[in-house]
Amino acid sequence: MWLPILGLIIGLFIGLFTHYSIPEVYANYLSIALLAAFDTLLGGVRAQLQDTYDNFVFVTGFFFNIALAAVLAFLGVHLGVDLYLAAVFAFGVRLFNNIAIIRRVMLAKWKKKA
Amino acid sequence: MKKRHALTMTLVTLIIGFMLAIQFETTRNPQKRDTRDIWQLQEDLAKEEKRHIELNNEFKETSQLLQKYKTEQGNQKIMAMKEALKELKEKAGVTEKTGQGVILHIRPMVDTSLIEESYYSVSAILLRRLINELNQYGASEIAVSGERIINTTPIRVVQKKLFVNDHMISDVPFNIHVLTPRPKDFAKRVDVSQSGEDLAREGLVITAEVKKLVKLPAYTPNIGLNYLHTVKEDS
Repeated sequence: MWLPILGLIIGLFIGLFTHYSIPEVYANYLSIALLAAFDTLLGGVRAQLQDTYDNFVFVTGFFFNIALAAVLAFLGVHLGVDLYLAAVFAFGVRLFNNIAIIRRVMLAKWKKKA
Repeated sequence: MKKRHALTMTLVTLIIGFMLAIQFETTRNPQKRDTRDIWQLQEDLAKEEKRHIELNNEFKETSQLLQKYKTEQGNQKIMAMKEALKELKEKAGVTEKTGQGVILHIRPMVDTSLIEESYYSVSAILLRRLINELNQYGASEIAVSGERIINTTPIRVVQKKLFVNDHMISDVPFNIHVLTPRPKDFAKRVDVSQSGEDLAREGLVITAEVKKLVKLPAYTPNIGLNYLHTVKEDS
C-alpha cells in the first residue's frame, strides 16, 4: 500500500529536482497523458479491490492509454477539432466512476470490519 | 497485494509522479521567447559592451591596487590601504569635492514679485527624473541646494516640502551643483533636456552656468548599513 505512494513521491522529487521542463506547446499533450495515467492507476486500484486485477492488462493499459490520449490530442491539433476534449471527457468520467467504486468497496470493507 | 503487483504499481506511480513534476515545472516557468528585434539586440549588445569596458577598467584598477599591496611592505601597505580608503570615501561621496562643472539654476519663469514664491514647487518625481537625466548626461557628482546626492539619497515630499537627504530644500529658486568632465557639452544637453520641458510645465526654468571650479559639499549623515552583509569569497 505504501510502496506506490513512495513511488509517487520519489517520482515527484526526481522531476522537481532535475528542473526538467518541456516546451510549452507540448504541455497540452502531457496534461492529457497525465489524465490517462491517473485513470489507469485508479482503474488498477479498483481492480485490485475487486480482485480482478491483472498485471499484464494494467501495464499495457497504462502505456496504451497514455499513447492514445497523446495521439488523440495531436490529431485534434492537426485536424483543427478539439479532439483532446473527447479524451478529457472520457477519462474524466472514468476517473469519477473509478473513484466512486473504490469508495464504495472501501466503505463496504470498513462496515464489515466494524 | 502481491509483491509483484505492488512493484508494478510503484513503477507506474513513479512515472506518474515524474510526469506530474514535469507538468508543474512547465506550467510554472513557461519558457520566454526572445522577441527582441535587431535594433533592440544592437542596443543590448552596446550596453553589454559598455559594461564589459567598465568591468575591465575596474579589474585593471583593482589589479593595480593588488600589485601595489604586494610590492609595498610594512608602512607602505598601510599607506596604500589609507589611499584605498580615501578613494572609497570619495566614491561614496562623504568627502568634499571640487572640479570643473556646471551650476544649474532653477527659478520661476515669470517675475516673482507678482506671484508668491511659495506658489512654485518642484515635485520629488521631477527632481528624481532630473537627477537621472543629469547622470545620463555624464554628471559625476551632484549636489542639490547644498545636499550631496549619493547612491542611497532619499528624495521625498513631506507636507508639500521637498526633502533631500532628510533635509528640507529651500523653495524655488535653488541651485544644483554638478561636477562633470565636459561641462560645455553638459550645459548644452541640459538646455534641450526633457526635464527642462517638464519644469517649464510647472512654470520653472532651468539654466546652466559653466564653471571652472565647482565645490560640492560632503554627504554628512550616516550611511545606513543595516541591510549590508559580507559576501563569501567563493559565492
